[in-house]
Amino acid sequence: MAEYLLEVNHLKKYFKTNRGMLHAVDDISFRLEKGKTLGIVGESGCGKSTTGRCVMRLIEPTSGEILFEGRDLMRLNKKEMRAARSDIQIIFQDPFSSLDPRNTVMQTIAEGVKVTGKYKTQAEIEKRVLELMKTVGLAERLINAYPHELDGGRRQRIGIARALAVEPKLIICDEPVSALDVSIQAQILNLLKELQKDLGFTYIFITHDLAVVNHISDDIMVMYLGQAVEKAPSEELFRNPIHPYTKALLSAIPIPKVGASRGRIQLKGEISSPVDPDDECRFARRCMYTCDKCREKNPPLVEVSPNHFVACAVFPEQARES
Amino acid sequence: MSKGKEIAAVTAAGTKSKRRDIWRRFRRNKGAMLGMLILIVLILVGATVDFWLPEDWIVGQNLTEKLQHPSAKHLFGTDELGRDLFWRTVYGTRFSLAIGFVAVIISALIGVPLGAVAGYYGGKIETVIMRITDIFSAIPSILMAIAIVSVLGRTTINLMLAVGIAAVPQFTRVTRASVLTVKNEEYIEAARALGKTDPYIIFRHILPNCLSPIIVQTTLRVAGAIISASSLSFLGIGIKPPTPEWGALLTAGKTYIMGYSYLCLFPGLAIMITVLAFNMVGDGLRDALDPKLKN
Amino acid sequence: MSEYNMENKNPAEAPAGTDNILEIRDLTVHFVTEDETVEAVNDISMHLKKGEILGLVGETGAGKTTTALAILNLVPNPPGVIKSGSILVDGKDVLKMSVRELEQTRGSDISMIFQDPMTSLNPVFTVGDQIAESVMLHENCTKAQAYERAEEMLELVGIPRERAHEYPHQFSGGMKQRVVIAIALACNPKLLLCDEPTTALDVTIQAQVLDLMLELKEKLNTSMVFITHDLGIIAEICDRVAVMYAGRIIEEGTLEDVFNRTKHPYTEGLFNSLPNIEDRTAELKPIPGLMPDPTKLPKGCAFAPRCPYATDACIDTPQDRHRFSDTHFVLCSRYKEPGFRIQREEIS
Repeated sequence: MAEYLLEVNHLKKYFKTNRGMLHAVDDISFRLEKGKTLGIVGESGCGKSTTGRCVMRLIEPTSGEILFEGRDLMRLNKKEMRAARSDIQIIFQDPFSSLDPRNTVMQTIAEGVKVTGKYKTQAEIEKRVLELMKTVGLAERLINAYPHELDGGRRQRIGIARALAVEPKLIICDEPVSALDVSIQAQILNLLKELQKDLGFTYIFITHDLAVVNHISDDIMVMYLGQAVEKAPSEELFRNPIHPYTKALLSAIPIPKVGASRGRIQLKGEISSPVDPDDECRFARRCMYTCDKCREKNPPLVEVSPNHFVACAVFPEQARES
Repeated sequence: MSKGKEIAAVTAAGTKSKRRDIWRRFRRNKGAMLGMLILIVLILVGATVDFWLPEDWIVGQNLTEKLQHPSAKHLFGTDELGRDLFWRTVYGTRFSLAIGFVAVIISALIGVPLGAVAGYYGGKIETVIMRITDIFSAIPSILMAIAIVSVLGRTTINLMLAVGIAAVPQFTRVTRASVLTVKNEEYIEAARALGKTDPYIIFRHILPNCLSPIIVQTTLRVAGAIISASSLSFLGIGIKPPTPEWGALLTAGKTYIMGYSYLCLFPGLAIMITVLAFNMVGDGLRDALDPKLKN
Repeated sequence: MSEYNMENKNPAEAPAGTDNILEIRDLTVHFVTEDETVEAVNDISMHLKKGEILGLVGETGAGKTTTALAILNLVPNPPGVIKSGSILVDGKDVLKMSVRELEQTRGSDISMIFQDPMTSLNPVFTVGDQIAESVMLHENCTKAQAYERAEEMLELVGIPRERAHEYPHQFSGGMKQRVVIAIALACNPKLLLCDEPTTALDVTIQAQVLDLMLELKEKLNTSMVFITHDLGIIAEICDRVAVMYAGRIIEEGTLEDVFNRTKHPYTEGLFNSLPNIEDRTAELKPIPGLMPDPTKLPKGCAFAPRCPYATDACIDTPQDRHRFSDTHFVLCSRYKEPGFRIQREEIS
C-alpha cells in the first residue's frame, strides 16, 4: 500500500453572498503520494485556487478532512496550525504582488529561514539565504536588491526560495508561471522539476494551462464549478479523456503547429452560476450529451478503470462497454 | 571581503535609487518646493527662537510706543501695550508649530493602529471601530475640542490633546482604506503561509506599505491642527493671551480691528502662509509617493 | 545559398503599391523621458494584404502594442515620439493626417480590440447603445437605424439581439469580448487591430472567440493584425507571421515559413520553451537569460547575449536581413556564412 503524504476528503468551502451560498469548492477528495505532483486544472472560477488555499487553511474550509501525514489539519487550533504551515508552502501566481515591495531579497528569504529555528545568528541566516539563492538560480549580487528592480522571472525565483527556506514537504504552486513570458516560463518549470528531483518535494500544481499541467504532473484533476469532474494519471487523461468537459478543454488548446487544429468540440452557452446550484450535473447546460439522467442528480466521481475517475452520468457506462 | 563590498554597494544603489526617484518627482513640483522652503525656515525659527530672541522684546511693554502703524522700526507695528508685533509673530511660530506637530502625532498614534486593526481583521471589530469613528466625525471638531478643553482644563498640553483627538477619525479612515488594499496582496498571504502572527504581519508588512498615504495625511493634518488651535485660541479657550500664539494674537487684535487692522492682518497672514506651505508640501508628497503617477 | 540574398532589403517595398491595406515603412518609435530613452520600435517595415491576418508574436516589451498604437497614431506623446517612418493605411499616411482626418479614420477605417474586455466597455450604457454610438459617429444615419445595425452586429457575433438592452455587467467575459468585437466591426473597418484579444479569456471561451473571428474574416473579408504571445493561437488563425524581439522584426514569413522552416535562433528558442502536449516527457529547453533593457540596446544583435549561435561579430555589428524566399526573411547575419543552420528541423 502506498504512503500518502496528503489525503483530502470531502473538502467544502461555501461563501456567503448576497444572492445565496456560493459553492466555491464542493466535495473535493484526493490523495497525493510523497514526491509526486498533482495537477489541478480548470477555468477561472472553478475553485482550483480556493482548493489550494483550503489545504493549508489560508482560507478556512467549511467542512472536510485534510490528513497531512495522517494528522487532520482541520482539528488543529490556530497556534498548532501556524506551526504546521511550515510543512506546506505556497508559490503564487503574481510575482509582482507576492513580494513585499519594501523588503530586499535577503529580508524576504530570511523570513522563511527564521521560521525553521535552525539558524540563529545573522551570519548563519545570511549563509543559508545565499545557499537558497544559489538553489533557485539567483546571482549572489542580488541579495540586497528590491523586487521592483527585478524582472518577473527573478521575482518568481525569490518566491520559490522563500517557500523552500521553510523546508516544507508539500508545495502548492498556484499558477506559478501564468504571468511569465514563455521563455521565462520554461526556465521556472525546469527549476521546479529539478527541485522535485533533488529535494523530493511533493507538489500541488494549480493552473489553467493544459500543456503546462501535462508537462509537470503525475496525476491530473479537472475541476468544473467547484467539483472534480475527472481525475486520472496525466498520460491516461490526455490519451483517453472521458468526461465531455475534459474533452472540450483538451480540444480547445491551441497547438503551435501548422494545421494541428483538430475537430474542436464547441461548448454552447456559458458557465452556470455556482450560487446555490441545483442537484444536477453542473456541466449539463453546456454539454452536448445531456440527457435526463444528467438532470436528475449530480453524478458522483466513480472509478471507471484503475485510477481513472469520472463524474458523468452518460460516459462511464460507455467507457466500460468499450 | 570584496563580495561584502559589492553587496553593500548594490544595497546602497537600490534604496538610493528609490529615494532619488521620489525626490526627483517632488523636486519637479515647484509649489511643493516653495512650500518646503517656507517650512524649513519656519521650523528653524520655531526650534531656535527661544535661544536668540530676548524675552524683553516679546513681553516687554512700552506704552509710549503703543499702537504704532508698521514702520521701519516696527515692521508689523505695535500693539496696545507697545509690544513689537513682528517679534511676537515670529515667536508665535514656536507655539503654532509645536501644537500642530504634537497634536498630529497624538492623532496618528491613536488613529493609525485603530485603522490598521479595523482594516486587517474586518468583521465585527471593524464595524465597532468604524461606527465610533463615524460618530466622532459627526461632532464638529471645534465643538469637540471645546468640550475636551473645558473638561480637562485650559493648558497647552490639553489644547494639543483636544486638537489631536478631533483629528483621529481622518487617520483611522485613511489607514483602514490603505490597509484594505494592501491586505489582499499575495505577500500578506505568503507571510501567513510562513506561520507569522497577526501583529507581526500588521507591523512588518502592512503598515510599512501604507506609509505613503499616512505621511501625506500627516502633513495635511498639521495644517488643519494649526488652524484648529488658532481657532480655539481665538475663541478664548486655547492659549492664554500674553503668550503670543497666532490665534491669541488675532483675538487680542480684534478689539482694535477698525483703526489698526494690521494687528489682525499679520498673525492671520502667518497662519495662512504656514497652512498653505504644509498643504503644498502635502500635495507634492502625494504626487511623488504615488507609484501610479510614476513616469 | 539564396539568390534572394542581395535583392531589395526592404520587404515592404517588394509588392509595390496595389492591394496592400497596410504598409509600414521604417517605423521607429521611442519613448523619451528626462533621463532615458526606451527604444520600443526600431526600424520595422511590414505590409498586409486585403483579407489577410498577420500575426505579431513576441514577449512582453517586444514592441507589439506600440506598433499597433502607431498604426492608429495613438502613441502617447509625451513620452512617445515617432522618430521616423510612414504608415500607409489604404494608401493614406496616418502619421501625416490632421486631427479631423484621424478621427474619421479611427473606428471607420481602422478599429482596435484590446486585451481586457472588462475595461473597454462603459458600464453605464447598454451594449446596444454603445454599438449604435460607434455607428452614428462614423455613418450618416438616424438613431433608429444605428440601433438596428447594432442588433444586427450582436447577432453576427452570436449574441441574441434581445440582449442589446442589457448592460455590460450582465455579460460574462467571453460575451463582453464579443460585444467589443461587434463594436469594432460595426463600421466595417478595412483593418482590424487585435491586441491579445483572448488572453483574458478561458480556453474554451477563447476557442469560441477565435472561431468567431475566423468566421467573420471569411464573411467580411476584414484584414487583421493579430498581436499575441501565444504561438498556438498564431497557428490557428494567421496567414503570415512576424516575430518581434526588442523592437525589431527578427523573422517574418508565411505561417508555414515560420513554423515549419524556422530560421531565426530566437523563434527556435520560443518553440523549444513550450511544453509539448503530445510528449509530456520531452525536456523544455528555455532561452537562457533575459530580454535586454530597452533603454540600453546593444549595437549589434539584441538577441546575441542569449543566442547559442552568436559570434563576437553578432554582438558588435548590426544584423542584416537574409531572405530565403519572396515571403520569408530573418534578421540574422550568421546566414551570410554558407552552410549555417539552426538545430530545429524543417517540417515538411
